[in-house]
Amino acid sequence: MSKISQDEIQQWLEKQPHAPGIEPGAENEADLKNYQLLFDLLDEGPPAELSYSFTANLHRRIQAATSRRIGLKWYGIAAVLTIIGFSLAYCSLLFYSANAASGFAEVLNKYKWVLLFVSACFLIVQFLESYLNDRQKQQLQ
Amino acid sequence: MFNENQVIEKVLQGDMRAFDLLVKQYEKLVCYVIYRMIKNKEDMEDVCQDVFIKVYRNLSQFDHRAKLSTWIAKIAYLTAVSHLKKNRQNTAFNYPDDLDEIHFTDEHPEKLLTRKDTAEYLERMIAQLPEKYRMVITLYHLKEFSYTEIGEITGLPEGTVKTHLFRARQLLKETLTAN
Repeated sequence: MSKISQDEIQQWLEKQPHAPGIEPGAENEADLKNYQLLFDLLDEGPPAELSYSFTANLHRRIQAATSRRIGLKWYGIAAVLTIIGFSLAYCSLLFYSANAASGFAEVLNKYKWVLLFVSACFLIVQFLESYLNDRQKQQLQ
Repeated sequence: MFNENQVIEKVLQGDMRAFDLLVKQYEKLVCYVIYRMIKNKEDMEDVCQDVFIKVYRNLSQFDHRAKLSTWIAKIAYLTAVSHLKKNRQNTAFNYPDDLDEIHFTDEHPEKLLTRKDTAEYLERMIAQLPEKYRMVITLYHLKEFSYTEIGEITGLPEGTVKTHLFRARQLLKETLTAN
């Protein structure tokens, strides 16, 4: 008795009209029966299901990610505007009085680390707040 | 009827209802791919959500060269692989050198079938297959993809896809025959 090849099985599965004939015989018939059972089970797919709240949770996560991205965009814009503001203030002062402009630059230079520290603290607080919010939301889900 | 292009256009305009339609249309596909890849079923839903978040974020990059289902399946597959790598679950399912010598559990199937039905038993057998076998057999039996598309999703040549599919089936049939 001949064993059925995988190509023959595939053609039999696809019900091709010119599929090679599978020799009759108890072994082959049992094989086809087992393959049929296997294909039926495989076509059914795994018993996987998503929860009813899947879409709602997905919306929540997308919204959280979107607002986080918008937040970051705004922080970027705020940082750029601050730099532009300081530059404009310096240029305006330079236009009226070079002494005042250099005084302004000195003050900025003197307090640059304080300014950077305050900005960094602000960003860290914002980041921690959104991180804790996300965790809280995940725990509630 | 699900109009792929129309739905994509609406999602890109920020229409969340259209995105819900997209999720509904492809949740079975994503769910099956993730289910077969991830052993820890508690993580399954989170990973499915990750997949759809990636789909939402990157939909503007979808170039219509492949079917949307192929593109989503590829995202699902790569997300599952990266999840497995991150959680180091994959070590047991990496390609062994003696791939053709793989055999299933020594536990006699008859014993197993007395307590589980055939479908559950088959799922257990599928879970023991190497990762690529599991993926190929899952994608093929979704009746959605051709060999070429499965190759595109998994990054395997068409010939290898066929070999994996045939070998996986043969292994699974052997266990059913043993019963």
